[in-house]
Amino acid sequence: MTHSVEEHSEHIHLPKPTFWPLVLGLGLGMLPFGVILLERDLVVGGQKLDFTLGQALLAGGLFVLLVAMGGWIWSNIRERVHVPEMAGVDSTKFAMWCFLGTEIIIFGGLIARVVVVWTRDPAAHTLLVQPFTSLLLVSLNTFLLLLSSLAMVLGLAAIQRSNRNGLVGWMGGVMLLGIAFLSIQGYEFLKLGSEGLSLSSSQFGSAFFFLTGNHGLHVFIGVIWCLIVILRALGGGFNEHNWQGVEIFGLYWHFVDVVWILIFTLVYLMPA
Amino acid sequence: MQSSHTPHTSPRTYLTVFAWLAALTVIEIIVSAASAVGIPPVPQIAILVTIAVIKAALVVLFYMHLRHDSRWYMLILFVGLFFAVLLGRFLLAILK
Repeated sequence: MTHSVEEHSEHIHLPKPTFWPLVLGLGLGMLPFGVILLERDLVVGGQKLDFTLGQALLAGGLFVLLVAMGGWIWSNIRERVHVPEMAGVDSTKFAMWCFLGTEIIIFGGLIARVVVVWTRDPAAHTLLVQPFTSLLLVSLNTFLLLLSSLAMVLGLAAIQRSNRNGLVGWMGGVMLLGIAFLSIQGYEFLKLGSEGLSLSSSQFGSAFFFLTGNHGLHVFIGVIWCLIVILRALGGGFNEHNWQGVEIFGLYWHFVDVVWILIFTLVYLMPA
Repeated sequence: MQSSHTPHTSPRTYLTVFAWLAALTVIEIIVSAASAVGIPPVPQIAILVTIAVIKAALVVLFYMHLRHDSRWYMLILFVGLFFAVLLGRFLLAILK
């Protein structure tokens, strides 16, 4: 009896205690305070600084968040262990889907907020697609993300056929397309800002930039994650028997693509 | 540590799905411009939303492999969608 319990316990993996989730929580917690205090001046020793308290909190929060993510991912890579499947469900993939489930709720709320505010202020919305070049830019961005999703699955298909160079090549494509998307989005934000639409200009501006900025942040995190996948691939971390790390990143990247598909239609293409 | 339940989909299938996604996006852009020629907004919105849902479903089913994967993942997806719709309804009620 004792023997069988010991045998069974050998198959149960408990991850080592880690402090990274606490650091991650600290970084995430700083972000909403940064948004709330965006307009609050920062005074040190009677001297008003060039940036606000909110900007400092946002920058600090983002830095802490990225460090925590990097640390957590690195500790996970170092402690690579096999976690058995239960009832046909892979635990890592299950965890990723649970995470994506919460993301669906967050983005659902953000998209609904933009649509509701937009119906009350149709004039602000026309800025997004008028003149025609604005719509052209957003459409180009949509094609870039669709292409990146294709590159992602072709990279996965490559490593499943033990083609490591193929994986690195396609992942490089995903990263470049992600960077191109962010560049165009940055240009669009600057253009809208020069036309009077900003985070604080109106309710629509606040809702729109919070949604698209949040999505852009997800793309940025995806680009960093993609770089990690490439580095792991170059170091021989993946082969035809071990490609789950690529698949899990793919789930995240495709989710970001799906969110953009919905944003593109519901925020940009809807008639006034 | 590979996921035994994820089948190996052929690159040809991935390319076909991409072709559909690209074509549907072009149709969406054309439909969105149709208001300029006097098409009423209600059918326009219905077509745009339907196309967006089809595009999202294509990515989820083929690129995220839910077509062949465990139904548990699909369940999580629908739970998330349920709460997203609920949140949207609350927002509509509060903000209107």
